Amino acid sequence: MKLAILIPAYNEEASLGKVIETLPKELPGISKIEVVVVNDGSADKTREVALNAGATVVSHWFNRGLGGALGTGFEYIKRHDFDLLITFDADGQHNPDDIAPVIKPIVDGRADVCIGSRFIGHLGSMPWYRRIGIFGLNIITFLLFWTWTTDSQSGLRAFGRNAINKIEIKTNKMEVSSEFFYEIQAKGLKLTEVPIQSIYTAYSISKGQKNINAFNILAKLIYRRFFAK
Amino acid sequence: MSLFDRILTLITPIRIILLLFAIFAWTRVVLRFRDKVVNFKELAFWTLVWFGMVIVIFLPYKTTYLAKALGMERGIDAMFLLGIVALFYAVYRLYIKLNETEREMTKLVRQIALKLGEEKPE
Repeated sequence: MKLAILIPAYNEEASLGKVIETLPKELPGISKIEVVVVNDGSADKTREVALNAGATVVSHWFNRGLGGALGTGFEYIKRHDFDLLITFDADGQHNPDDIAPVIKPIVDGRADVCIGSRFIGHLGSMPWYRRIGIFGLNIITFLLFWTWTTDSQSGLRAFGRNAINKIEIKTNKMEVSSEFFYEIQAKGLKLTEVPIQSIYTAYSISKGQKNINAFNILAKLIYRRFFAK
Repeated sequence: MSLFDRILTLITPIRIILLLFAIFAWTRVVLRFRDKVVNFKELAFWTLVWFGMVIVIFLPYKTTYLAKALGMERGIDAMFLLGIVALFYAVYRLYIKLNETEREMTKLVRQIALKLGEEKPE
């Protein structure tokens, strides 16, 4: 099985190199691992850092946001015949040891999509206000897309070949995280969740979303649900 | 009061300014119609809008009929209501349009990125 680790990155030169270096070089049941960085119009040395760390880089001409970058990554991975895709954040908030458990349900053929949830089991050190924001977005995701998840905003998600081929990403920014659940429901994909742990540093918190952004995300999701062609 | 006197009482500075503005706005539409930027339907729509504006400017009591039809007392209330509805609709159209444009932009950037191809480490 060929695995692509997809990292969307916008001005992440400070953390990206270290993130790529700590990624696993081999995993059980995986014959080849390729790290694909979508450089989303970064103004800094994100592209060079990724190349030096040994990643494949696809570059956006200018910044399009998380959804735009993930969509490009999905398209690249679709065209290059990968069996498995895992999305991984560039800010260093994910633990590379969580990759193996997140891809396992898919390698075993038990699911098409597996979300690494920060809210199953041990809750870790997530700031309380962030928890409230994410819980609100979980509810919004459920009301709009009819799929319950314990962590609609997780950046660590794995997709099997069936999901890679069927999922179409149409949003541009952070709302993409919830859009995945729409696609999962609409395309009849099998979803499962496994616990992961987040590493909260001042850097990853500063790079994260603000609660106020939830309103913007809500508007975009309503648009996606009812108006987008 | 003769007809001429009645017309004279209708002419106040604010009305002249608004009339000139309506004429100016309408000529813009006509010019764009001549350049084939807007189609006949749009021309008809804007002609109605600005013509209606001129009526409201000079014969404000006419809007009272409209207000009565909408179950309101004063013409000005009906105008405010219609204005707000029209603005909401315009904002809604703009929002949809903006989202579509953003999506088209992303598609374009994506196609360019994939066409230029990936870079591999040396």
